[in-house]
Amino acid sequence: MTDFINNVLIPGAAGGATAGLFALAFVVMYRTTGVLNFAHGQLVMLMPLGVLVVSDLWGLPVVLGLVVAVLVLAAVVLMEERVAIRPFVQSGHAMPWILSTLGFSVVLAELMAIPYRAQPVRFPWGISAKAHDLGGIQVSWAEIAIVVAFILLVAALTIFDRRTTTGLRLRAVAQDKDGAAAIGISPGAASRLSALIAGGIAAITGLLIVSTQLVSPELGLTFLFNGFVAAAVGGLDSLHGVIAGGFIVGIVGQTAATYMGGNYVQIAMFSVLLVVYLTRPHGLFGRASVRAV
Amino acid sequence: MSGMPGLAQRMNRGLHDASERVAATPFGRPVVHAPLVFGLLLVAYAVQGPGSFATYTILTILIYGIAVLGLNIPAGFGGALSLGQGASFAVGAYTVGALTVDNGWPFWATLPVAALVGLVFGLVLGAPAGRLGEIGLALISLGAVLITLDLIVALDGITGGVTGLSPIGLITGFGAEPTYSLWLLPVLVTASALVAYLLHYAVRVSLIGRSAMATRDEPIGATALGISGYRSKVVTFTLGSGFGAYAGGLFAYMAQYISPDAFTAHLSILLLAMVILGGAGSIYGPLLGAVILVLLPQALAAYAHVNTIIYGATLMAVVLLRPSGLISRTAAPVRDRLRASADDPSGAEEREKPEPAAAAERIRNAGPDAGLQVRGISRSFGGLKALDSVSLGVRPGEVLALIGPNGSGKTTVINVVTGLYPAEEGRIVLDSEDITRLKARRITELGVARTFQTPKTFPGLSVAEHLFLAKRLQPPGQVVGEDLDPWVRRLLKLGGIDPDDPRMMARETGQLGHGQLRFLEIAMAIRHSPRLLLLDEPAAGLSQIEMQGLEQVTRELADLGIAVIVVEHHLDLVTRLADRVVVLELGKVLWEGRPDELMDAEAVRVAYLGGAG
Repeated sequence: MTDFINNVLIPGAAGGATAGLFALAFVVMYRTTGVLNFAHGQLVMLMPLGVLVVSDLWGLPVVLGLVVAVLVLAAVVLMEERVAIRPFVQSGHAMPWILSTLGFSVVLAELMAIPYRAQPVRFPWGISAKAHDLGGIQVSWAEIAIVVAFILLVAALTIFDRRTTTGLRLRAVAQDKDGAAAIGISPGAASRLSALIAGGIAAITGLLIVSTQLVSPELGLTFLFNGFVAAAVGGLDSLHGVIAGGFIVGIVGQTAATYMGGNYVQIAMFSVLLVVYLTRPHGLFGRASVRAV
Repeated sequence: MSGMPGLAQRMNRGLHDASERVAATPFGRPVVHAPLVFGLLLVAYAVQGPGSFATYTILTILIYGIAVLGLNIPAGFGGALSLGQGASFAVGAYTVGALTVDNGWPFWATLPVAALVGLVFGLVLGAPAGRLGEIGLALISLGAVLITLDLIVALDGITGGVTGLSPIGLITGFGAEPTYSLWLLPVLVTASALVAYLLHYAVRVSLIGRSAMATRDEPIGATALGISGYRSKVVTFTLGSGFGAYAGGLFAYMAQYISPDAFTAHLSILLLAMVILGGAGSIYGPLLGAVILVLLPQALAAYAHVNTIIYGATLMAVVLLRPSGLISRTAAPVRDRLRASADDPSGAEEREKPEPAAAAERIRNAGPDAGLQVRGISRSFGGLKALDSVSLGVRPGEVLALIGPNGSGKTTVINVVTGLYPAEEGRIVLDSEDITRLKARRITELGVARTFQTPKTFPGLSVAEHLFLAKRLQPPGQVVGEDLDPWVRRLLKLGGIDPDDPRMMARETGQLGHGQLRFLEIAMAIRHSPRLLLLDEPAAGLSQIEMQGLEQVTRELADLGIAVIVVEHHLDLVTRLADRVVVLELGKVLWEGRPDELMDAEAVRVAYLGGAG
């Protein structure tokens, strides 16, 4: 039992929180814009990379590094939203925005490769990933932090969504872009705000995952894919669905890794995605759209 | 940005016109230009040397070209966005690699096997993925790339794992040594590309290709023509994967060494980018995309970062400025012609009036159950009862008008009869056959044709292709045995489409106006030789003259023995055209009777025309 907790449950929960944080950003964007951001992996790495450049390369205080990194991230997010997302808001076709966000990610990754010549770098200021023994159970501060941060973020965004006027406006755009525009809610502003929220989630995700990940411009498509799976499992339009989606992805992935080997993790993810799509195409908590002729 | 849209639009318009003109020349036909172009490539190899860098570059383009032509089949024709063509490419490369390195098979055995493995791979993936929407398919195909890479590493006994496979030489016979000829690979690749190009074209002009395009452009309209969207998705996905795997096999021979690094998701994205940049769904656009995205990085090889940044910017620019790609024309030629065009184009259709005696005889002899019988059908949407126990019927030769205020359920009747929405209660019987539980596609095949309130035509297909798709559905054993082509021609002419003008017939319907589309849609419905014709507000947006023509043709079609239901708001048209009128209100039949009694019916006046009079 302790083995199961140490080998599957705890790493699975941490991995699930990572996938869940990606999924949360996807859902926030998707609900208002109908776009899944394929450049999100780069946005996640931008924060720790920014801190590294300011504080490691230039030797300035870490606090300053954080401030600069947040500003750069916000600027990049706004730029991406303007050129790669806004033109395709709720367009009903996926091909254009998949290519535009992928194109943006290619450009961004290339620019991010410049400071460290594409070499992966260790992030020295991350939360400790050293395991502590709690009565046989091995757990690190990094694992606890990412799970707690994930759940708190979902809770905060759910409250924002349900209890604030701004949240209500975003939901209005999500349901009917033109209808919302007709009553004075700008889909463009909604798209921009959603992108900034997703950027904020990326910043937090970035600072948390560098406890166990090296900082590199290419985060790898597996992170993105696991996030997509978590979002699809919970429902692409469901905020709280990402909790279930994230942890299902984490536990299934870790089970495959522990008992079958690392090469079978993606196969397990793929199977989860396929089963969900074929049995509940809108995810566990997503809403089916009403068919209209 | 402000001046950009105008400029981009003009550029787009110009490019489209140019491709339309090229398509009209003999050179526009693949059987003419393909052997020429590919033959010239052989000359280029001879001039540059078969082992030269120039030849290598061309071969790279051709190998990617085969893979992107394959990807164009599901992604371009079918609109099924696939981020997974690289997976098929890898599967083919490893099939060739393993058969060559481990078993010493010759190329003429390995390459067909690779294509076959690719087809099976595509079918296994496409069968579930064909049920998904665009995003689902994109994610599943992306996942397929990731797991293919993992499986290559995991199955290291066959694939060599991370170290890969080498040397992959071109073996010409079982037990033979690899060839030293520098010519075999260029000739093999070029011949393969030629065949792939012609095959790709054959798929495009086949029923499958056109059906896939129709489903891509307007899924519901395609269903109304009896096309299975699922089937065309799975078939196109399977074919595309076969092309991809064959190309991967050639790649293995060219590279001579393969490892998982060569087949990451970036390859799949590159292949998709080639298709979109060149023009998804067009006939030679994807090849143009392959040329550009192979040559561009070579030209910029000296500038490391700039190179990649330009690639990423190209992806963004193409979807922003020219989403349909460089070659935007997607229509393809049709061989089959409308009858009655050759002998006497001027007055042929005038002479082909219905034979009143024969048709009238047929109508008279129709049994008591002939035509459509709708008995007590109900249908709700959420809490709204759109149809509440509606009964009506229409006999062969009869025109029934369905009228009522907005939201009274007129269109829902059509949608339920054609199987778009199943009825929750009641029965629908067509010529004594119960069709209540049948799928929309099956009902179409039984001879039920319909039009929609806004024409559901396919913008990327030509006028002739629309008529082709409508024709192939002509079901056997029709009540109406007549060839309806003369009426098809008249309807087209009423809409301002000259059926004898090849350029007009080759025009994509995305370029046509509303009236033209409306008449084209009715012409399609007729071409499918229906026994029951359902017209949903056919006169909406038509001029007085157009409306008169429509009225006359509809009457004549009914006189041929077709049962017609018209949903219409123009009461004067209804009064002249209909034999019987059913008035719906709030999902119930309010009144039924002859059109000349309509204005006298008190209940109708109150409900429909408003006020107590």
